[in-house]
This record gives sequence, C-alpha cells and structure tokens, in this order.
Amino acid sequence: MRSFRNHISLIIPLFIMFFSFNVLLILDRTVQAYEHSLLEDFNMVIIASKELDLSTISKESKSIGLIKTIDIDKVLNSLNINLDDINTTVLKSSLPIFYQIKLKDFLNDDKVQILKSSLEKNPNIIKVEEFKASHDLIHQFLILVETILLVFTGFILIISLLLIIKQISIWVYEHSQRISIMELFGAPFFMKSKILYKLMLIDSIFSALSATVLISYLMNHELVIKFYEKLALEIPPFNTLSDVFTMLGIALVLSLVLVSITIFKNKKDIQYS
Amino acid sequence: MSSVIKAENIVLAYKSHEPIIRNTTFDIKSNEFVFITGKSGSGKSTVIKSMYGALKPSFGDLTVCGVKMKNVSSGKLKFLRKHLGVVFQDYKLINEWSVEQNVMLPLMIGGFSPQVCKVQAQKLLKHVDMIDKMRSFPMELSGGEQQRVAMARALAHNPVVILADEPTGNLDDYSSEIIWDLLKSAKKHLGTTIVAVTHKIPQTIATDYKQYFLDNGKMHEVI
Ligand SMILES: Nc1ncnc2c1ncn2[C@@H]1O[C@H](COP(=O)(O)OP(=O)(O)OP(=O)(O)O)[C@@H](O)[C@H]1O
Ligand SMILES: [Mg+2]
Repeated sequence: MRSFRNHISLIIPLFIMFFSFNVLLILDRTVQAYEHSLLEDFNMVIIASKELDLSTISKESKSIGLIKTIDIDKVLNSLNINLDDINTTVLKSSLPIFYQIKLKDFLNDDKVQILKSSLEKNPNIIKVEEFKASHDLIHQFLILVETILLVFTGFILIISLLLIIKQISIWVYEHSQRISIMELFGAPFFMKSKILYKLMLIDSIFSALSATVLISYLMNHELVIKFYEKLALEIPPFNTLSDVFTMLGIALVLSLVLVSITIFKNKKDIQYS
Repeated sequence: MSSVIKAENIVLAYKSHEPIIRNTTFDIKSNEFVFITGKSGSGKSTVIKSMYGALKPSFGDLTVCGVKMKNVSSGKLKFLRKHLGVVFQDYKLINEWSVEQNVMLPLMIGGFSPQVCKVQAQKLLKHVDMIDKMRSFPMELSGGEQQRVAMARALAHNPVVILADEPTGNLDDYSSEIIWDLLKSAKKHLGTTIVAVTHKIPQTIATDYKQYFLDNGKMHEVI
C-alpha cells in the first residue's frame, strides 16, 4: 500500500508533464499545418521593368523561395483580347515583365508589409501586389493559445520536477539503510542505486504511455474533431511511432538524470559513519 | 611476517575536541588471530570502524592491507572493502532481503554468478546452522540467529581480513563455540587474519592469539 502511494505520487506529476508535452506538440503541429496552408494560398506579383532572378531578389528577404515569370500570352488570352487586331509584338515589347513570387517560410502581415516595401525600393520594380486568403484571425488565435500553453507547460514542468525530486528523495531515504550496508561491503555505485533507477524508469514509461493513450482518445473524440472542422483546420499527425519513442527517450533521460541528482544530493545522509 | 593492519600514533574522534582513541600504535600481522577487549564504551567498535574506513583517523597513519586510510579515495575504499569481512555489532542485515540474499551480498559484489553465490551462501549457512531459515527475513530471527547470519555473510567471500565486533555477544556457549571454530578454521585453512572484539576470550580457543586491552583511549598489548 505504501509503495502504491509512492508510485502514484511520482506517476501523477510525470503524467501531467508528458500530457502537456503532447498537447503542446499537437498544437504546434496544428499551427504549422495551418501556416503551410496559408503559405500555399499566398501569392505576390511583382511588376518589373527589367529581368529579375532569385539571387537578386532573395537579397531583400531570405523567405522568398521561388520566382517565376508569368506568361504574358496566357494573361492576354484570358483577357479575351483579339490579338489579330493588335500588333502583338509591339504590345508585348511595351509591357513590363510580370513575376510571381512564392514564399518558403510563413510571414505574418507585418513582415509581408516590410518585404513589400523593401522590394518596392528596388528601382527595377514598378509595383508589388500581394494576394492572400484572409485567415489571419484564426492564425493569431492559434498563436495566442500556443503561447499561453507554452507558459503553462513551463510552470507545470517546474512544479512536476520539484514533486518528482521530492518523491525520489523519499525513496532514497527509504532505501538508505540498504544502500549504506551495501556501501560497507564495497558495492559499486550502480549496484547500490539500481533499484531506484528501475523504479523511476518503470513509472516514467508508464506515465509516458498512459499520456499517449489519453491523447489518442481525446484527439479521436467528437468534440475535438468538430472543433477542428469548425476552424477548417486539419488534425495533425500525433502519437506516431517517432513521437512515442521521443516520449520514451525523454522518460529514460529524465529517470537517469533525476535519480542521479537526488542520490548525489543525499549522498551525505546515505553515508555511514 | 607482513603487516596487514598497521597504526602509528592514530587519533580517532567523532568530535575533534573529544578523541576516543589517543596516540595509539599497533601492528597486526598477516594470519594473526587478534582479540580486542575492554570496557563498554572504551572504543572497541570505534577501532573496528576505522579499519573498514567508516571513521578516518584525525592524526597518525593507519594502513589496512596496504591502503592508507587517512585520505583514502572512495574507489580505493570500495576495493579494500571487497576484501574485508565485517561482522557489525548491530549486525546490519538488510531487512527487505532474505537470509540467503543477505549472505549472497558480498559474493554478488565480488561479481560471481547468482548460481555460484547461492551455492556458496548455502554452504556458509549450513556452517552456522541457519540453512533451515534461509528463506526467512532478518526481522523474523532472534538476535543470536541474526548474528550467525552476519557471520556467514562476513565469511562468504573468503576475505583477507575478518573484522568481527562481538560476534558471539548474543550466543550461548554452544553456538559461540561454532563461531570461534569457524574463525579458527578460516585462519588455519585460508590464511585469514582475524580481528575480533570480545569481552570474554573463549577458554577453548586453543590457537595462538594476540590480545589488546583498550583502556583510557590506548591499546595495550596483553602479554
Ligand atoms: N557515531 C558516534 N558519534 C559520537 N560518539 C560516538 C559515536 N559512536 C560511538 N561514540 C562514542 O565513542 C565512545 C566509544 O564507543 P564504542 O562504540 O567504540 O565503544 P565500545 O568499546 O564498542 O563499547 P561496547 O562494548 O559497549 O560496544 C563512546 O563513548 C560513544 O559514546
Ligand atoms: Mg562496541
């Protein structure tokens, strides 16, 4: 019974920690997927008097990923002008060059305006125009939620770590009789503390896996699916094999580091005299 | 014969202003059987503690199996302790472990396979007449039974030196005899050096021995 309570008071902070990590991860992926879709919809058209290429234009911003000429014929075709009536060669030579720009990183509104004005400073560029779907409000909302969650996860992390270290200290104390006797017979460090690492590892893995299970359940819940649908968001990939392994990796490192810290912190108490 | 434990003008103290042992010199040679006697509180256990490195001398030189104890590193101390067999006055058995597991401890530390450890532990438990209780836990044993388990543990790994603090303190004459015979046999057949604290030297010891009498913070050899 006593040992069950010991485990629970370690598993709860560990579980909360892993759960918040997972939620943060999913939210971050949602934002990224959303930014990606915004990026797809984003277009910038440059009207230039001289030819431009990616190397000159990317001096203005590293976020520019692609620049291509817009086929004038197609534009004229789509305008339904009877080309026979006009001397096409004359028209074409008198037209400026049209370019379409694609970005490789998501830029928010302010940054787009900065990019626009810096492009306009280029003497060869006559005009810059951007076309985008206006989902900026949802994007701002997502960023806000992510920031709040990040701060909360920070707090949760600190409180959980304190609780965990406290619980391990109790373990170290409970095992101190045995550890000190083993020390009197010259037991190596790992042999003395093996049990502590084992206990911590089992609890970490259990917490990481149960957080994964709960996340899976929640993300497949009607409410969450509806929420994503309403905001026209895609549910990002979660609990992939690599996610689960990352969590287990964190669990492993956490066990090693925390138990070692606590043992060294309590070394004075353990030592026999 | 070579010295196994050599003390030169050592001072042992828990609090620096109250030394328990003052400027004491002694020399224990290989394969000797040494008794340390003295009144209660005279510092017998304190001397034993210094020999397994739980209390470092504040002054003077103490060398145990070639290891200088004054500024001994934890690695050296681990190494030394693997070659000592200690019977503590308060036994220091591990309560969560069975009798058999307790006796296996120094063998496990020595790196033997669990199978070898089991066989050897059971052999020693037979010697101290505790084989029937090898599955019991220390809390389920009488004081004398715990003491015999502690003796089996101290002998299990054939140590170079046995430090036994009142190993028969809780035993009747018959069981005491068994313990002294075990120690004598280790000395005779394995060349073990024995240091035993006792308040009464057994009448039937029938072996060469050296006796130190602890009084007033000094060890006096009794001739
Ligand atoms: N951990 C300790 N801290 C402070 N003083 C101690 C400690 N252990 C023992 N002492 C003191 O050192 C003195 C000698 O103690 P020690 O245990 O060596 O006596 P002893 O000869 O073994 O006695 P006994 O025959 O009763 O076992 C005692 O006065 C005791 O109070
Ligand atoms: Mg004593």
